Amino acid sequence: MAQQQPVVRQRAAWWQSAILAVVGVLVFVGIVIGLDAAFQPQLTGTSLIIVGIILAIVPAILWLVFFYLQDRLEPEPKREVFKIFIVGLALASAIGIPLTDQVFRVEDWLYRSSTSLVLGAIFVIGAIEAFIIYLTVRHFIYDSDEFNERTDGMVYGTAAGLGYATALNVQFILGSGGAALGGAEVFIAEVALAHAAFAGVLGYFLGRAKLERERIWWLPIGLLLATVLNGLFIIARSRLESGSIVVGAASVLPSITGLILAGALALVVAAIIAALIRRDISHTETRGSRAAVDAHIGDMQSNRVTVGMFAVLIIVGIITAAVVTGGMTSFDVSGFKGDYPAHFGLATREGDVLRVADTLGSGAEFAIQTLDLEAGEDANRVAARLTVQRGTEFQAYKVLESAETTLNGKPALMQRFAYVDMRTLVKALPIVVEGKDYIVLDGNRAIVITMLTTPDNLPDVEPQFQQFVERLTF
Amino acid sequence: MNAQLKLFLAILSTLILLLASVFTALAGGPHWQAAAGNLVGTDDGARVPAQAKCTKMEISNPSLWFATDKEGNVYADKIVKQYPDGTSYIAAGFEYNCIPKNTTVTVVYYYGGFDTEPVFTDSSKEKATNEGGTFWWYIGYDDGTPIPEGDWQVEWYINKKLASQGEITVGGGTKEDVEDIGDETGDDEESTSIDDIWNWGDEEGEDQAATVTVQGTIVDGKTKKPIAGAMFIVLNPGVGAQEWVDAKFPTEDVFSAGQTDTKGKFVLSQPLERNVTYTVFVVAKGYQPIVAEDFMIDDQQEDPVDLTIKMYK
Repeated sequence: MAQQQPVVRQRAAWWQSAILAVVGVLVFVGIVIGLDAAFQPQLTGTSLIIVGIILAIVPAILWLVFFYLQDRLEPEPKREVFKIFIVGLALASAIGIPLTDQVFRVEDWLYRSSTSLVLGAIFVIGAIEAFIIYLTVRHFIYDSDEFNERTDGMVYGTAAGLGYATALNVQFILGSGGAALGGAEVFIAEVALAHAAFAGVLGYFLGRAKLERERIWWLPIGLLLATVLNGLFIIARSRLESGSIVVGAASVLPSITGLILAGALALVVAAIIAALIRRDISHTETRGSRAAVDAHIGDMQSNRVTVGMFAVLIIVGIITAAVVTGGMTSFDVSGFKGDYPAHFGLATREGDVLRVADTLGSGAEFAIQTLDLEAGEDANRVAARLTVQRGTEFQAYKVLESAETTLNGKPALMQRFAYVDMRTLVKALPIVVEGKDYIVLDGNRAIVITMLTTPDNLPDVEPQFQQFVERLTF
Repeated sequence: MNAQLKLFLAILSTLILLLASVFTALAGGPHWQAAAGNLVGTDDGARVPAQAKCTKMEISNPSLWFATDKEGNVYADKIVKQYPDGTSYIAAGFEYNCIPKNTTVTVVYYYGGFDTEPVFTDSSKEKATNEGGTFWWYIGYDDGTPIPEGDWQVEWYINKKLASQGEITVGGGTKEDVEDIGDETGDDEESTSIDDIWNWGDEEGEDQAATVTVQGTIVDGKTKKPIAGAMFIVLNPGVGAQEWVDAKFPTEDVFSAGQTDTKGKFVLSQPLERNVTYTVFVVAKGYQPIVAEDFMIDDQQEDPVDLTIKMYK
């Protein structure tokens, strides 16, 4: 029997190195904040982005160095640990982040309600991140001979988690075109510590799965735990760090509540895993290893069930996203029936049949108005009336496009327009508004259905408006 | 453990040193703002005798110090013996008889003694004139924050030759320390009273308007970058946050609102009343909304009220 004997050597010091790593990252952040506050460097453009990216990578590298230093008795080959870090970073950049940001567009709807926050944080962000980290370890190192100790799961899991965190941090710096260094470093360290913590949990489950015969639900439970932990962290942080309104200039010192939370989480997780691994090792010493003779088949099944667990989680995530973003509210006013997006609120003013606005989001408005027709007036005459009315009310009103179409089987005139709204009064830049009208003649009245939004929000708002128009009956 | 700790400390200190040098190199902070002023033809030849044809520029020694206000305006008719608390700008200067051709005036400011590093120095080439006048050079921070209190010194060089020196204390000065030389000369023009110039301690007693304009900047709490398109919404007094959200945020409950421009700045469409509690929502796409149910502007706050709002993702 050429079975590999699991290593049962105990490393009393490794969890101390976790503490050292957390403290090291926190000290580093403190120094960056201190230097930023003391010197207030005036960085702009490329230099700001370059310094930002360096600062985005440092906490992960610091952490990895500490761990590596501690893992000296039988060090994991540097190449392998670094490889897992890079694979985690690559998978996060190629799959994880595009999924959360572009496919699910979590940022657009996460904070719409407490329910959307809880479900989105756990079933979308938490599940995707945990699964990417699981994939990284499970498929790029788990089967290797180098994965032969209980602590290895932790080391590789943490490396993968830090890879994910670094991808998020670099994207954060690039996405914001550089950032105030002190505040940015707090966030970067927070992301790194939190990911190290929940990836460490997942790593513990992977380590035990490799070295002991575990039941088929062992790894899925690990994935679920890491998912929930990640989600709960996002929820707790948003509750603690929800913004501030102050009179006068804000303090130069950034808020560190999220960082304290992440640091505490990392320390608690490290302590718990340390205790568990210690217990596992003493069990092995007294009762011998329960590692499977042929672990391969069990592994494959367990892997499938884990993938299944992720599928379940993400399906809940998809349903959450669909309900939150696709929900509609029905209305029935003055003979007009239809639905508008559920996150819009009523904003009906004098002269409107109905006006709804995305007050707590993009600020976009959909409105229905009716105008009495004068003898011989057609849709183009109505459009001209609108031009006169808007031309006096706003600056630089222009019709960009005009076309004949049909709506509800009735001939209609569609026009796109833009104008400048000076509603911000003094000391603020005017806002460009882009809009779309449908003008339908209906007996002796004209029905004008209007969308107002900003050029930035137009790609998101227009499909919602089309749906609003198509569902409208009168 | 010990060897590892040493290595850890070594790595950390290297990083700190590296960062410190980068930060020092790029350090900004408040900058000095300074400018020269020259009032030719003031009728103050009493101090320095005028000449028919200018051959040599005679200037008053020791240097004079002039009253300044919070905006950096210099009042050349008011000589100061000591600047008050909270002074933002100081202006050293002199009276002169005339200015010959090719005259360069150089000013050097010190803080804490002539033997210290100069705080500020600059030169300016002056236009020739046969008339006497008053010349000054003010300095202060570009953001208007008060300059350090203590003793300030100045040196004046005419064509690189030391011509005048002077010293003044910043802090503790009162209106008694001001000598109005504008009146001495029988100037017809109405001169600004020192009460109007040094009025920055007296604002508490002024009557407050019942309403205040509210404006502000909305920034990302982490990057400090401005957030464009964010909304600052103030509800009618008495309307609570939950009530408004439950009613699907109808606009009829909105008392006042402002949307940020690309620089993150907004101004509320409607001024707010003092000492009235409002519910405030701050919302921006992709950010956690801020809800404040006890937003109030009290009598202490100046008009307009300038807010800074940090939002987090």
